[in-house]
Amino acid sequence: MRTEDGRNRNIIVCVKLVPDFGKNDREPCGPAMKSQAVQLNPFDGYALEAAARLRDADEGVRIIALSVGRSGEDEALRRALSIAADHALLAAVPNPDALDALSVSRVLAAAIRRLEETFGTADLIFCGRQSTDGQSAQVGPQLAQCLHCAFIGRGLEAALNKNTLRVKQEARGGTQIAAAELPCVAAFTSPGWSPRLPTIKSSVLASAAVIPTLEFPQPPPPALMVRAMRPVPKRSGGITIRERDAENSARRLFRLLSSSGVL
Amino acid sequence: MKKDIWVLMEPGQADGYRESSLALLHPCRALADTLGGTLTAVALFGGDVAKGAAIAGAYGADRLLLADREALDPAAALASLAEKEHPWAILAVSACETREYLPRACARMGTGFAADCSGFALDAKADCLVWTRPAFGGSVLCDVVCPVRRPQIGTVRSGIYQQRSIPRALPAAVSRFTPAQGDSPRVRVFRLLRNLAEDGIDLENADIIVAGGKGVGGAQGFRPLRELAAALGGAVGASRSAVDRGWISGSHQIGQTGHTVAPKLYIACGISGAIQHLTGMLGSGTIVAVNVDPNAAIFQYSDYSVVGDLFEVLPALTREILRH
Repeated sequence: MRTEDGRNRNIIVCVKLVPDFGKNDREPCGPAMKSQAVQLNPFDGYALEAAARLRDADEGVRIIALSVGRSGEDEALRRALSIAADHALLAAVPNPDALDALSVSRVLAAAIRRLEETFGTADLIFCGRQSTDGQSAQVGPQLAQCLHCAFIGRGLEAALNKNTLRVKQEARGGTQIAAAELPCVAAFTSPGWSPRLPTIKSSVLASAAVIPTLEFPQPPPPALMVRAMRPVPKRSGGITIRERDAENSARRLFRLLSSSGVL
Repeated sequence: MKKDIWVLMEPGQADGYRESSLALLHPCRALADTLGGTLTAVALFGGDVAKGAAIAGAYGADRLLLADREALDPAAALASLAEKEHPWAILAVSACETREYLPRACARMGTGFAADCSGFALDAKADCLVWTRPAFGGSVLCDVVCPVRRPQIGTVRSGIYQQRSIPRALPAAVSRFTPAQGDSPRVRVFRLLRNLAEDGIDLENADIIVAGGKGVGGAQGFRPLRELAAALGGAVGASRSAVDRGWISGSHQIGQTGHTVAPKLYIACGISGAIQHLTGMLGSGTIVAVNVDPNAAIFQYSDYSVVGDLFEVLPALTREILRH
């Protein structure tokens, strides 16, 4: 809903691209190479969906997609525009692959402060719980720290009531409701419903959109560095169990698991 | 200055500390000894002094830093404490709480955070820890280092290390502190809606997982999986197919858009082996797959491939386990 002084509520949704494990060949893959298929980080898709549902409930909500990347690499933003975002901004850095999560969080926080000059206060910042490539779930909490906001994680769905965000989140053995005052950061995970898809019209508009860039020529240097990467070894020599009936198969499996110490 | 290794304790049963936190003291004791440094257990949530000192000491800690009240902002409390005491490294078990407050603490301290590691080792020459963690959906293992910034901070999955108590150990020397409050706005949590059909076990920290996919056929189809999981003391997981069909809630989902798990034993039932699911569980110790289709892709990744009907094999396996 609009704020007391009648302006739109701004929801910033942070997005990035990750390798599309399904489309690449059957082998699990490593870091994204130019030729690999990519997709919007599915968790960012859930964040976009949560933001879009808030806008469905109230037209006074404006969604701004934000991404960190090289100048001109704005594919994640175009996908966000085609799905639900009203605006998009690229925080351009010279070498995004060299950054660690904290550097990315700091760049995102600085970009959010800059975009507030144009759009007004960032009331809500949504992101995916984690990315399917980095998998460390750090950016959400770190962004909240950089912006001095509360952080609500493991979000399934969100609702806005005046100045309070209520998020249904995963908890041990069930779900719970967490609430925080605006502005705050929330990270989302898979809610059990499919996020909305782009339409032909929205895709066409998104591909033609002019996406403004905020330059960050000297992002904070990374504290954490990757020294080596190796594929998880594939299992070979697996034992096939196919006895004459299920009882015997189960018995054989149990014996094998016990003797190898697993059970 | 002596290098100080910190291990964060999480609250456990009966005013004690969680087993998985105590288990981390074991490899850290060896690390502290190699470095000629000290091992400190840190309890940000407060607790009984004598009990804490006894437990921390019994599992290898030289010292216990004990809050005199519960830290309402653990990130601020830890950052402030670290600023005073200058630990060389801080380790904790990967759990939903540490996954949220530790990155915040790292942002306060401007240091790197190695999340969900499957192990760590000392690089004496480079004078830093080398953290090993999965990435790219679990298909790749990365060695990461924080060469300059201190303290080095990381979380380790539970189940990787086992707690080892030291006979005739002295209680840890206790230093009490008042946790810094921090200025972060609070999150109010209320209305826990417990799903009675769900087990309360954390998938990411489970030692044994029995997971079901499309072959389970329906919500009731999960019953033999739940019974097997109960017999094994494990947790129930699911592929996206089962979750999307509404047979089980999304909190059980394992895969690219669900949880990434690495239990000692993973039993995949009626799961075909699509890459989006595989990437969530390839780090498992032993993989057993049960499927009627002898050509199911999952059999390329399993250590034990059982070709058969899960509705016959699982109950038979459960009976076999209960017999022993």
